[in-house]
Amino acid sequence: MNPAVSRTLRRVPRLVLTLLAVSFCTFLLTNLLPGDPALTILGENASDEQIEALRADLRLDDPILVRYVAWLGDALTGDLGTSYRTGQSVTDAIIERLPVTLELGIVSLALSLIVAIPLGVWSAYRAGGLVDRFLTTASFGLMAVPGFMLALFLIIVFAVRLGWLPSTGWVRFSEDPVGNIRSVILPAIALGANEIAVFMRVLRSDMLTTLNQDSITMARAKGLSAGRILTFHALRPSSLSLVTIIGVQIGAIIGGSVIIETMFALPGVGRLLIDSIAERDLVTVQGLALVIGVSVIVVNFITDSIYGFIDPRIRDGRNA
Amino acid sequence: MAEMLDVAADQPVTSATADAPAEVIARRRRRWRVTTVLSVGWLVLTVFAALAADLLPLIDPNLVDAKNALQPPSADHWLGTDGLGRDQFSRIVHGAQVSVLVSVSAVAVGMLVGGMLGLLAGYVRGRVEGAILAVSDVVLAFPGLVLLLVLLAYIGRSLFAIAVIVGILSIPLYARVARANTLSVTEREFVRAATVLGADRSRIVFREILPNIILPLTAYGFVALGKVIVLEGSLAFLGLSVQPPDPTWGQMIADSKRHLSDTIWPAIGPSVAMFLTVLSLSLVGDRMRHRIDARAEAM
Repeated sequence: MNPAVSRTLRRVPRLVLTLLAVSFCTFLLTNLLPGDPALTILGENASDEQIEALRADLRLDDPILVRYVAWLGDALTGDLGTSYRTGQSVTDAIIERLPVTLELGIVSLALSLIVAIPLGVWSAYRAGGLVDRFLTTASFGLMAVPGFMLALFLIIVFAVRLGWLPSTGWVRFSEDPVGNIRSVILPAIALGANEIAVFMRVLRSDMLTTLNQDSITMARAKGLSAGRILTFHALRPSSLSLVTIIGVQIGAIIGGSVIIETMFALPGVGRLLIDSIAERDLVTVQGLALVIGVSVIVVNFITDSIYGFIDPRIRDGRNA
Repeated sequence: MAEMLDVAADQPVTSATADAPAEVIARRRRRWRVTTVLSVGWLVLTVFAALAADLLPLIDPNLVDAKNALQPPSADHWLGTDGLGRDQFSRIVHGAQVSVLVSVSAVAVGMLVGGMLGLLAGYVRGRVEGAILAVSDVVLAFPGLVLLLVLLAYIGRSLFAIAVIVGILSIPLYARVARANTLSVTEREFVRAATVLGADRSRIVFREILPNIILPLTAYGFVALGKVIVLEGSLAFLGLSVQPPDPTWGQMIADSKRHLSDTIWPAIGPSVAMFLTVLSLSLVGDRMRHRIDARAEAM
């Protein structure tokens, strides 16, 4: 069997264990609430019948493991419970808002990679030069700007002063493609700016190592142009850590989108989380925590598997 | 907490000066020294502001003066006033208290517990290590901010809760840093020598290994302090931090959003204060890491 495939398969049991542990922790959230969870969820004004109904619904009189298995079974079949505030199914609420968060995340990731890759390559190619030193300093500065602060200043400049782009609101792509792109630009920049610095630094340091290798000297000796060497010979072997870091940063992007969606009033999953927390809609919070935790683990698993396929040392089973 | 605090933990350390000629390196060292002095200076100032805020002859940070709302900087109000006419400078100085208090206590909790667990994992190995790593993987699987928000929703919010939860959530990160450093220190000659000489385990752990992992942990802690300050700011933006009217930098920045169409002055002061603090912390942390690397190479 292909070594990269078997490497992926070998890691499946651990993936399943982590997923189970995360789901159990999420499950415990509502069950470790001080006092009667039913009362906490429904609030002080709930009637006795409501509380009885909820107790039966949450199976509060069963042992905890029985409840967990039942809850997990429901979750696996797509039933994350019903919000006691809105009466809406939690799964539906999440699915309704998922496209916004996905689009925001993908656009911001794409934007930061488009900026970070050329900059990282250039600063490694001319390491120690003026551009490199400027970029190193700038990346420190960029990392010190929190997403919400950048969002605020983007709104000041591009929405309030120049009036080029909207500061709040969301237009669906199916309704108005141009409006959709306009509404995603500022949030995506605010969300992705920090990642530019992270990606650039990682790529630069890997690239420095690659550029010192014999294969690059060979390519230079053959008289290949610098651009050709950088893009075709050096970039791919240097992109391994970048792939790993992108996986790690998915969590940062999801966390950041909570703030960015709130700032720009975008109807995404992050906003749903904040609203549910503000309204103490704990069933929705629990469902969101499960979905977010599971997606981060799965995305990390996938990026880590991709790593096995693009690194020839792992793919062909050679020793590093 | 991975992405929020994970700056130094897993990054490969490569020499930034690999290709640069000696003179460039020397010039860079001098340049670093200036920025380091400035960074440390700013941090000292911030801590001083936090400690002495109540003793300094400042205008009451919560004194509302509606007639003088949204003033630009002037002799009376050095950094202008906010939407309720409160003095921005005084509020920034007082806001330093929250930033320092929350970040230092969160980092202290994480570093103490995480450092000890990492030391244990790296020295004892075996099942203890496996268990510690497995638990930390599960905690790190969640986006830190999401986990923090969820826990605050269940536990209730207060400065104390924020500091403790952030501290606990960051334990796995410090544990990783401590473990990685313990693994490499344990291999070194002086630890082996101590083992051969019959030193007991507690002596080896506390007298030989611990002093050698404190510095890398502290360097990491400096960067983490900045991350916690940003985190508090994010919470303030979401309306989940300290209750008004007490000032925090994040709260002030969030407040300024309402007046953007009138004036941007209220946004500038607290943003600059937070930016400089976070930048200084990461520069000092980075400088410490470089010193540690240089020392390790020399040995």
